[in-house]
Amino acid sequence: MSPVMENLTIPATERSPAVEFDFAAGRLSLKGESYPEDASAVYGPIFQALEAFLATATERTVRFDFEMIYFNSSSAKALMNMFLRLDRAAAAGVTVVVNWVSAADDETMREFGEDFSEDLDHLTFNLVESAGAD
Amino acid sequence: MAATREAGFSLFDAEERILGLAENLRRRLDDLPADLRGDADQLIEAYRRSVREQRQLVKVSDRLQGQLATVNQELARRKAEAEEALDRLKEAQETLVQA
Repeated sequence: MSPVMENLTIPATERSPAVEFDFAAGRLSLKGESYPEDASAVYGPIFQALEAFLATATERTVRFDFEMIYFNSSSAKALMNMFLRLDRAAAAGVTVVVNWVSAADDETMREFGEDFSEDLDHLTFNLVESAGAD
Repeated sequence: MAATREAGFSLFDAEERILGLAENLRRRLDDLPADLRGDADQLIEAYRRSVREQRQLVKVSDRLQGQLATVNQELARRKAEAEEALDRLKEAQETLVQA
């Protein structure tokens, strides 16, 4: 059994999302707005924690909730990098469920989710309306 | 390049890795005929240019999206102010009617 990593919790700012990574439970979430001045400074630690977790997460179930309100292009690139890494983990045997959560009246955000899901072959990608989400 | 690289982490890490692989491969093709090497060079250069363009487009988009977010916040602030002013106006009108 792989060692349990320390959770990663980063509060939201006006320009960056809240991060809640509960590695023991396999529940990860990213929530809020994302248009930071320096996307690498925000997403570098997040991606590195995800990478370290997935490297040891064989034969596990991982749920990742994305509840974004607004994001810029650098953030979109970071999200795509995360989806590709998650899809690679799924191809290697990890059960990965991504929930792309958007408000019922936010068609734009829902369409982003549809676009992101197009190139992902191994993970389960759900489009979820936030009214019904936990 | 603050928007794409910080402390060894790059948003374009996968693309940089592919370019590195391509350059390694190119070095192993030195014994091939010149036209084949030329074609390989063209492909590598085209990909390098494409990645560079992606970085520039992301930078331009980030700047515009940042401005959009600022304008949105300003609009929300002014809307709240306008609604507050309208409430005060209604109250004043009510007071006048009652007087």
